[in-house]
Amino acid sequence: MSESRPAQHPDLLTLDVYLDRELPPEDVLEIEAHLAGCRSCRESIEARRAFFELIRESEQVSLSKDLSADVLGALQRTRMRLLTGVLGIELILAAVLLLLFGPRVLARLTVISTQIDISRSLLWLVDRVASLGDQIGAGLAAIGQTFLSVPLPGLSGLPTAQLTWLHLSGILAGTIVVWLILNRVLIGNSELERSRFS
Amino acid sequence: MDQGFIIFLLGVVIFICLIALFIVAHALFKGWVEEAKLHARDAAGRSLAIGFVNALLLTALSLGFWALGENSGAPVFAVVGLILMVALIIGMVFGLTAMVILVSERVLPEGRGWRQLAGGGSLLVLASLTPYIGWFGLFPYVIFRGLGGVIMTLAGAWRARRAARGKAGDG
Repeated sequence: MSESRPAQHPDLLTLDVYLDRELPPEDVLEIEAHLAGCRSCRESIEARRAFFELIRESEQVSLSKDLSADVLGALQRTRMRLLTGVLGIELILAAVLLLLFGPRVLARLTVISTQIDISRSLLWLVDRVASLGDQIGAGLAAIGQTFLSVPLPGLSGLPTAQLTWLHLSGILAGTIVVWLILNRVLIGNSELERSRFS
Repeated sequence: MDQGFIIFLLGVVIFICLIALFIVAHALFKGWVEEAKLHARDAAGRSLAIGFVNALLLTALSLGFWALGENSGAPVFAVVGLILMVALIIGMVFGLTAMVILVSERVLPEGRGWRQLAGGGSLLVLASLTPYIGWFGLFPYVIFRGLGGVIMTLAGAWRARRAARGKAGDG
């Protein structure tokens, strides 16, 4: 709607938007100017205003039956049917391919399998993982030896076994303190609101 | 060739046993596992950090106590080390089950019950078997994040009990 066009009867959509007070101000002025001179549009707008008032004042009616479960179930069934159909097509295709090329592929695989010793390959893989574990263990043992070689002040006269026991106890106590502090820092500020005991 | 077949068969049996373990753990300890899943889901980074720190230090403590028990001749330390290791393994099993539930809900949202768990668990186990990336990447990530969720669940339960005792004391 614009000022350059001649005043025309506004359509029903425009009247609804006017009644909802969502028209821009210049369009509102135009419509009100038209309504002032057009009885039929005034009657239309009154009828629509009364209709919306009736709807607003009517009672809320609850559904006698909740159909949402039925609707969702039907959607799920449709989806399952579609998935089953796609799977069926894939299985048929796989069966056709197997029949056409299966014997040739099997013959080739048989040739390859005689050339590769699968058990030796698997054992090699297990051996690599085990050697990695050995390397990590050796590294940790070296770190432990370093700690054990650090002399404890004032206690160097003690027998080796007691020194080792003291070293280990000290390391363990230190580890426990570090463990508690780290847990306090990491867990301490979190919002642990969810608990089945609360 | 026979040895390879036996290893393959063993792998299949272990795979089935793992899936059964997840389903049974969820059935018997549903509350704990579901809560651990919620913590692992909502605080992924924190769970990962907590799980990593606790796995590392508890393993070190367990080995340390074991060594102390052997060195000092007092078996009580070795028993403490064993208890710590067992507790860590149980936590990891619960954590892994929580992560299986998380994966199952995301990958198979329309699945229900044990079927959903079996599907998600299978996917997780298979993905973790990917050479190197799965062994040293995905599997430790899943283990640590799940363990972190379990520890946060325990911490939450401990706090709630302490708060309840405090309220009972005031009242």
